Amino acid sequence: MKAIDEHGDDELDQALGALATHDVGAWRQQHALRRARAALDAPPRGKLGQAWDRVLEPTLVTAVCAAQLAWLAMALEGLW
Amino acid sequence: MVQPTPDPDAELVAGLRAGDRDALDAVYEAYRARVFTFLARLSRDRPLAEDLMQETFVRLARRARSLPPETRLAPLLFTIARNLFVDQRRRALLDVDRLRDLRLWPSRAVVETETPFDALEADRTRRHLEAALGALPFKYREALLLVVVEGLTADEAAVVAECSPANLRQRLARGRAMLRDHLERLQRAPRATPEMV
Repeated sequence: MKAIDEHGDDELDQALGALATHDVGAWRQQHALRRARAALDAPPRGKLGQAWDRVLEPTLVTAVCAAQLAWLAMALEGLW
Repeated sequence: MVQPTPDPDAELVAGLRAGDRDALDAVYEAYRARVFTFLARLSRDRPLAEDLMQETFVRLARRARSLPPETRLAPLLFTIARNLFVDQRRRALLDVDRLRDLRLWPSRAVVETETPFDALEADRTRRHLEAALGALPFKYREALLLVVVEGLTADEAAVVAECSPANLRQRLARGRAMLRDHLERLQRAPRATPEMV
């Protein structure tokens, strides 16, 4: 499994590689798996949904933020 | 004649692409603890790591049917997990770890700090190592976790960390040097008070 960089420090790398792996509790394990299964079984999103995720929502958020910044700048300009 | 070694991921990826629940279960069983441990060491926040681990597998399941057949699961899962953590960190404007990286917050004292796993780690040397790892700036900690702890190649880790392979190797070398330095300081400090952060 290990593919350590060739210039590594063997002792340090061995110690790091030997660090324990930890896990979540049983309830969380089941809960996460149920959610993942539900996501796997869910019908794929349509083109409109994908467009919303990739383009429309980020554009809308950016526009709202820009408008708020512009409003703030104008308000400050008015104060000064 | 040497037979090519079958790719252990290929069958699982084929199952995921077909929407097979058993394949998802197998991937989850194989990678859950690794992804959680990676996130916990990256974030040093167990509840956050639990949430992000869950979200990682939900994201994997959502895109399962569109995965390329040659997908390698470990780099993919660590990429999703890492990106979720980075997004979360961006949203948390006053994240202490981020401020520390920007040198706007005092460095984590290299003492026997509380890590998420202190209660589980009985061995003192390993606790020192966890603490020293936790004290590294994000990009060095990330490089060491991906390559040395999780066994990704430097090229795979570079993709996950969104940097060039040469840059990743530099981060590894610098991270190792910083880690050794932290460990030496830890070993010189026989007793210290836990930090407040």
